[in-house]
Parts: sequence; structure tokens; C-alpha cells
Amino acid sequence: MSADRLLFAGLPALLTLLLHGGVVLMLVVRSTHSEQVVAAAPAIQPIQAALVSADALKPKPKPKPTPKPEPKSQPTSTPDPKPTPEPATAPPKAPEPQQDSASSLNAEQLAALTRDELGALIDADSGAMGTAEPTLRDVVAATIRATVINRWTRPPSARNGMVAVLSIQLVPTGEVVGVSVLQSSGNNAFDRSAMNAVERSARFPDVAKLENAVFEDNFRRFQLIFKPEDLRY
Amino acid sequence: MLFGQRLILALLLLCVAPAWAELQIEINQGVENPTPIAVVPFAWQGVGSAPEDVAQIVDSDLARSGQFSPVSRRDMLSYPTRESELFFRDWRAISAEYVLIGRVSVGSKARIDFQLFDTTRQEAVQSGTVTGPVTELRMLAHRVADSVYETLTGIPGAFATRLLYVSVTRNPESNDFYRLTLADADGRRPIVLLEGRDPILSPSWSPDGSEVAYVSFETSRPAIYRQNLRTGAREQLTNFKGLNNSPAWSPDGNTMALVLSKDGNPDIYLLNLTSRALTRLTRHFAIDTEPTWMPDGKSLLFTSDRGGRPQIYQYDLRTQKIERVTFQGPYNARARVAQDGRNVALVHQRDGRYHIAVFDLVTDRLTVLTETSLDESPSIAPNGSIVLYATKRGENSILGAVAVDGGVRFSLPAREGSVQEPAWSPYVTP
Repeated sequence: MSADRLLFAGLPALLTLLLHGGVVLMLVVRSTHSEQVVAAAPAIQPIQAALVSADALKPKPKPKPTPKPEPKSQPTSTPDPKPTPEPATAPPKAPEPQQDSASSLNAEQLAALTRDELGALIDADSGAMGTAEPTLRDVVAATIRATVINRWTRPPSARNGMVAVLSIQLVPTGEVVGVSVLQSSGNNAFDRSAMNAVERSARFPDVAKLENAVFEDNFRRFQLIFKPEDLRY
Repeated sequence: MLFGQRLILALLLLCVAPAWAELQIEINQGVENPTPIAVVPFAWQGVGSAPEDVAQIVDSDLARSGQFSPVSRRDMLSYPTRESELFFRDWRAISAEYVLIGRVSVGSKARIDFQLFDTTRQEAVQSGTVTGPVTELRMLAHRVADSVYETLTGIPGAFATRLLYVSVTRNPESNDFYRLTLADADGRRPIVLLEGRDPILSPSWSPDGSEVAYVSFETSRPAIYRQNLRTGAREQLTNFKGLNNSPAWSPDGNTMALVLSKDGNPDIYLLNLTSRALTRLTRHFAIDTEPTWMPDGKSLLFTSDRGGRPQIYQYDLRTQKIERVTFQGPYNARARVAQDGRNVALVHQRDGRYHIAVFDLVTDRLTVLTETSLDESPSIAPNGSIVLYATKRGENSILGAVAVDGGVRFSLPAREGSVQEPAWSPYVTP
């Protein structure tokens, strides 16, 4: 599969590649300090290292992940805010050897790749690994969701449509090390119930199973949106 | 083409804002578990022994709400009364999510200082003080419960409120004996306001909680009275021929809705309490009864069988229009509206049994709350959380209570005889 990638690089787009590659590079370098990016870089590596066969690229027309926030963060495997499954898959490879030159090499090549192609690549990758449709990332996100739901006791003042957004910080073992309110529901009891639901969860053990990069990209810091829909009103 | 495509996409990608979007997980369900809270015995800083176990009162209040499951004292590993004595691990060990500690002192006034802690986040959530007459220590304890309840649930507590109810002692030898009783919302400290062998009906509260109105047959005919709870002053408001029933104070306290049959069959009237002017609202050959005010004072709900069976109707005071409100089942009666103007507690008949139900005026959804079969006279707590009602147990009726969300049910301490027509007070300013 990785052979492909080389093929691509060799493709006509050379000039553009260079230009875009340069820009991406700059972006990457610039944003290196941000944690996500750092985390991201490793995730991407696998791509460059491996050769992807051309077919691997086309065949899988992934539904386009709408948001293309990727550009500079490309290096990051999963910039997608939405739990779009595909990006997540990339990471599995990440931890592999070729860390060093990775970013620069990638930058150029990545610039040349469309999001689709990236998705295809990633898919191909994960396919090889035997990863099924839902990625490990998705599974972990789902277990986090279930855990929090089971610990969330809503106050009687809670109403459907209230929204509180919490920022959650984890360490790789899955321990919750930070909970803060990003957006209050306007109801203190509601906000507190949400925070306590997370605090009471204390640890999401499944997180420990994740590849480093997946963890860094998704779970080092993420958001929980508390938005009841099952209340009487 | 590939090239062009890629170029465009690449450009697009580069243009997109670089803002890093974090993974978001949406939580849109939860569970209905009562919150474990430890109410530690409060320190008594007075002579002799404490006249009331304040912490126990708070504990019982919170438990009765159904939203809390207080930790048993026997399970507590320590009994802190000040923050310096509190160790969160002691409370996390017994899975108490909140700990309430406090101190009670009595001088010329009684004073309760309390502090509430969140053991999960290990921080103080609330601290407060209530003061009042020494004789009102129980009420002060209820106010502590109100305060804690509001902090943790987001809605005001209704523990420091009172109940009116009528109890009847059956007497096969002579007439039954009636008592109109005023008690704390937990059923304690009952005071008899009126008693005798003549029936007492329809007790209700003035909106400020300072007066009550009721129907008494003491003149051998039903008449409506009002009685001031502080001064004991009592006044007969109506004594018309026929029925004089169901007094209901308007939210502004100036008007009373009532049912009279002086002009034929029962209809709804308004009595101006200042001018004593009487206005007839409904004229219908059917029975119109049991008026109750919407909290905005702009309309009333009442029961009428003008459609053949008793259902709830709404009278708009501005347009003088009457609209039918309930269509669920063959029988809906005796409405009482919660302060939110949305939930209406009523008696609903299903399969020949009478249940307490809540009707949502916004969604038109009716939810049956009780499983008993002869429930009557619902009355809603001023915070809208609990419906109190009378229900049969054996020969007698007792007071039952059920959470508006259907969560908890409990009955109030049994009194001698049958207990009927509970009326939950509004909030009373301390």
C-alpha cells in the first residue's frame, strides 16, 4: 500500500507539490509547539514510509469528511472535530520507527494529497491491519460516553436543550486529570452535575489501549457536550 | 485532472482556518439516581441537650424529596462539625458525594451555620447561616434543607412550608368529628385551627401564606370563611343559599374564586375581597366547580361536566372565553396548577380507578403518577416538585405524596382518623 505514496509523489504535480509542501512545512514548523501538532506528526509518518499502491488510493472513495481543518495540521492524523471514523485509523502505524525525517518528507507529499486520498491511504492502512469499520478511537469514545452517561445524575432543574460543554484532560493511562467548564449551561446545578459525572468516572481504562498518537490527538484533551434529550421536558 | 483536482484541494486545505478542533463527545442521556449525601450531626453549642436534631430534620427532608439518598450515621467514619475536621477520604470511602456539616447555637435567637462540601471535587460548595426564633428551630432546619436542595438541584426547596388538611374521626354513635389542621410540610407540629362536629371542606391558602379559607357547616349550611393564621381573626365571607364551595385566592390576593349555586346549579363566581362585589363567571346548566388560578392570574381552570363527563376547562378573564383543556379519558377533575404554569395535577380516571396525574399544558401530555385507586385532592408543592394527595388505606384515607416526575412516593405520618384535602402552602417569608 505504501508504494502508492511514492507513486504519487512522482506524479505530475511536482511544482505544486513543492509550493504547497513548502507552505505546509512552514505551518507545521510554526505550529509545532502546539501539543496536537506534535502529537500529530508521528501519526502521519506511517504514510510516507509505506508505499501505497495506486489502486488503494482510488478505490475507497471515502465520504468526504466535510471539515477540512487538516491542512496544516495534516501531520496530525485526526484533526477532525467530528468523530469521523477514518482519520482515527491512521495512528495505529504511527508509533513505528521512522519518526525523524517524517515531517518534512510528509509535508510535501501530504500537500499533494487530497483529503480523500489521505482517507484512502489511511483506510488501506487500517485495512491491512484488520481494523474493522469502527476504529479503536471510536470505540474508546463510545465507552467514555457510556461511562459518563451512567454517572450523570441530572438535577431536577435540568431541561432538554440545556447545553454545557466541558473540557476534559486525560493522561495516557486514562486518568482524568482536568475538568473545566468551557461553556456553562447557565444553571450551576446542571454544570456541577456534569462535572461530577466526569470526576466520578475518574478513569477511562480503555484509553490506555490506544496508540500514543491516537491518544494525543484525541484524548489528551477533548470536549464533552452535555445536552440532555431524554428528559420529560 | 487529478492534478487540477489536487491543486484545488490542496489550496482549499491551506485556506481553512488552522484552529484545532478537539474531539467532542456528546452526552445526551443520564440516569435517575438519588445523590448520596452525608448530613453529619450538627454541633450543639448551647446548654443542656439540643431540643431538636437539626441534622436529622435536614436528612429526612432531603430523603423525602427522592433526589437524595442520605448516608446512614452509622456508616460515617467521623463526625466533623467544622471544615478543619473534615477529611474528604472519609466521605469518599463511603461514597458520599456531598457532606453537610453545621453548628447550632441558641441565644435570644436560634442560629444554624452550615457548610456543604463536594467530596468528588473536594471543595466547599456552599456555606450559610439561618437565624430565627428559638421556638422555630425545626423551621430553621427546614430552611437549611431548602438552601442545600436549591444549591444541588437548581430549584428552590419547599421544606420550610406548611400543610393544611382536614381529618375526620368516624363516630358511629354520633356525628363524625372534623379537624382543620395546620402542620409543617413534614407533617410534624400539627396545630388544630378549627374542630367540631360540622363538616369542614376545601381548605386553601392566601398567596402570602398568612391566611386560610375553608368551608364550614357550623351554621348548618355551608359557608366560606377566612382565618388569619397569626391573629386568629376569622371572618365569614359568604353564606348564600345552596352551595358555597371551593374558595381559591387569586395570585394577587385581592379576589377569591368560589362556587355558588344560589342562581340554580353550581357555577364559578369571583368575590372581590375589598368591595365584596360578586361576579358570575360561568352560566351553564352543567356543574362548574373546583376553580383554581393560573399563576399569572389571567385565567382559571375549573372542572365542568358540560361535555357529559367531568373535564378541565379554562376561563380566560380577559376574553371571557371558555376552552376545554383535557381530553384524556372519561374523567379529569380537581386541577391544581404548579407555579410554573405548566404542570397541572389532577384526578384522572383510568379503568374505573382514580389516580393522580400530571397534565402538561404545553405538550398536552398526561402522566399518571399513582398506582393507588381512590386518590383525590392533589395539591402541588410551591416548588412544583411534589404532589400531595389523599388516598384510601383500608377504611381511612391518608396523605400520600408523589414526585411530579414520578420518582418517589411516600405517605405522611398517619394521624388518627381519615385525612382529606391537603393544601400545600405557598412559600412563606420567614
